[in-house]
Amino acid sequence: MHDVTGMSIASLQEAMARGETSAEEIAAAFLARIREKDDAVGAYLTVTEEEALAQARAVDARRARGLPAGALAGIPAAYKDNLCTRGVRTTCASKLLADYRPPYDAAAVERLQAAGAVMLGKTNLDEFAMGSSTEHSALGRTRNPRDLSRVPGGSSGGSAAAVAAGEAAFALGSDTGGSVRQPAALCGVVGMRPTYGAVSRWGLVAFASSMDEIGPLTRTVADSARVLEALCGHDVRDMTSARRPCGGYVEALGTGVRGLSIALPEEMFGEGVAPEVAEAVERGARLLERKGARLCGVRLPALRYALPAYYILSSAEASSNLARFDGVRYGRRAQEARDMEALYAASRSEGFGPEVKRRILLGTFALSAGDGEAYWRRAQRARAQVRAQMRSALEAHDLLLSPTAPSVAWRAGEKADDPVSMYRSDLCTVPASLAGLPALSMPCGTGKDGLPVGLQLMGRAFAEGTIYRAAQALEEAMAE
Amino acid sequence: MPMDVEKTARLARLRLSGPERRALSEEMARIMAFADALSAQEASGEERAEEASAGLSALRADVAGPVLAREEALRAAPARREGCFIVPRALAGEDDDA
Repeated sequence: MHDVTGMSIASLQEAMARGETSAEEIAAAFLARIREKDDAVGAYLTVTEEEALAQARAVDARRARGLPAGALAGIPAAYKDNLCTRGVRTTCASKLLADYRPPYDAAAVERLQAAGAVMLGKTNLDEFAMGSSTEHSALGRTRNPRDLSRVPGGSSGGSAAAVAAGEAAFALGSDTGGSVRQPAALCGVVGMRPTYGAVSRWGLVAFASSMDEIGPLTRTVADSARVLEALCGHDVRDMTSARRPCGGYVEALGTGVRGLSIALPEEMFGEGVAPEVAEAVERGARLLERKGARLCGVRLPALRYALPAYYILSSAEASSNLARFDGVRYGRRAQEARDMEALYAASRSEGFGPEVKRRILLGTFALSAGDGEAYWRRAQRARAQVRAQMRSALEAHDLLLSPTAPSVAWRAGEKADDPVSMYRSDLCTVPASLAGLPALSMPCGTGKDGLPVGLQLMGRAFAEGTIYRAAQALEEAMAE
Repeated sequence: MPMDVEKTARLARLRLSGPERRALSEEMARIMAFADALSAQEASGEERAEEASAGLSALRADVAGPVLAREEALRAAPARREGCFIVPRALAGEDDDA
């Protein structure tokens, strides 16, 4: 039996169906891999070894009785630690929630459990999903498996690193401004941000509620399509959950790109993007052209305001969402506070890290009466312009194509003292977030020092099938 | 546009130490300069922020459903008594028992 930790979801399922291995053996192999690799990589904050083996045994028992075991039966997965898991520590990588155990599972976790996936543990992230390198975690360091001296990206850096290091067959992340796609690009794996509303946010600790979306990180495009099919669907507990059928992503695979029109936004290939990244992505685009897609350029001038608009709006929403962390009902409580106001201020100040405080301050300022309001109004206007221009471009074209991140992975600590430099790494990912559109990052060659480059495909709302179709065509073309 | 960090921190219920306040003042100045790029955009007509989700769900029926049991809701409480969350009094006084 091959090393199962390097196999795709389909291959693992076929091996189990042929009786070559079992869910328990697969889980045990991934747990051994975690023990072997994770001291160096640091992808996990919590490993749920006993629960994983128990879940795997349950899958094997169902299969032995000939009962349906689920579309992802026996497939080991890791979940970003801002997804609630009942009774299992969910920290958001914050001192404020270091020992918090939720009383319920997130909807995404419920769906994957129902599909038979096996939870290996919870992965590291930037605190409360605010960051682009996972360096803002208060509870541990995650390193890029491709080069341990470099960052894995963020905020879903732990999930991306787990998949890249073979420590999970797939992982869940959350993407607000790029936090699934950007770490996927930096670690050389596939990361999908579905259309806003496609996956229920129930049980995802909220950062920016109008932009948060849960998505899979996987080694292959086909794996991503399989996991998203298990995740998507309406959930009455999330009022932003799309009330429409979803799926058909696996069916869309293998249909090629002949006749698809793919536009490259000029603004995502110019200033701020490293030349070797732009070149690698352009090579990927030309491969799609050789496979029958039509390429052209497009101008989206509103994109120059996308990054500051994103940071104003997401921080404003975060300042509101994080108001619930006050030391009263859960989480860290400061000692010796003489009144409520002192309790709130002390608990929050002791619990939150510096980047979270920066975002809360920025957001509170933007929402406060007076000078801050102007930022909020301008950011809302910019968002409307970005949305209108992207949707208009996608009426004329099937897909937009760009780099995912403007550079390859940087060395740990390199941007630690410069928050704005860190924010600029979201240059290419925030437009799809502002517009609520689906976007996927996939490996597209290497840049400086042999580090992975990510190519991003953005599509129309609820047209993830078209994205998967093109992504798989490119994946196959690159393997030729 | 400068931010009054001390005032904003009070609004945000954050208590900053002296060194923290100084460091954040400098950082927030750089962040606000970054955000100031928005002032260059042209206002065109009556653009309004649309709803983020094109397929926003209708509200669900106003019917009682499963809720978190009280014991579960209190399980993570830093302080609890008689089925309630315990907190300091709203106004500071000599008697600190809430």
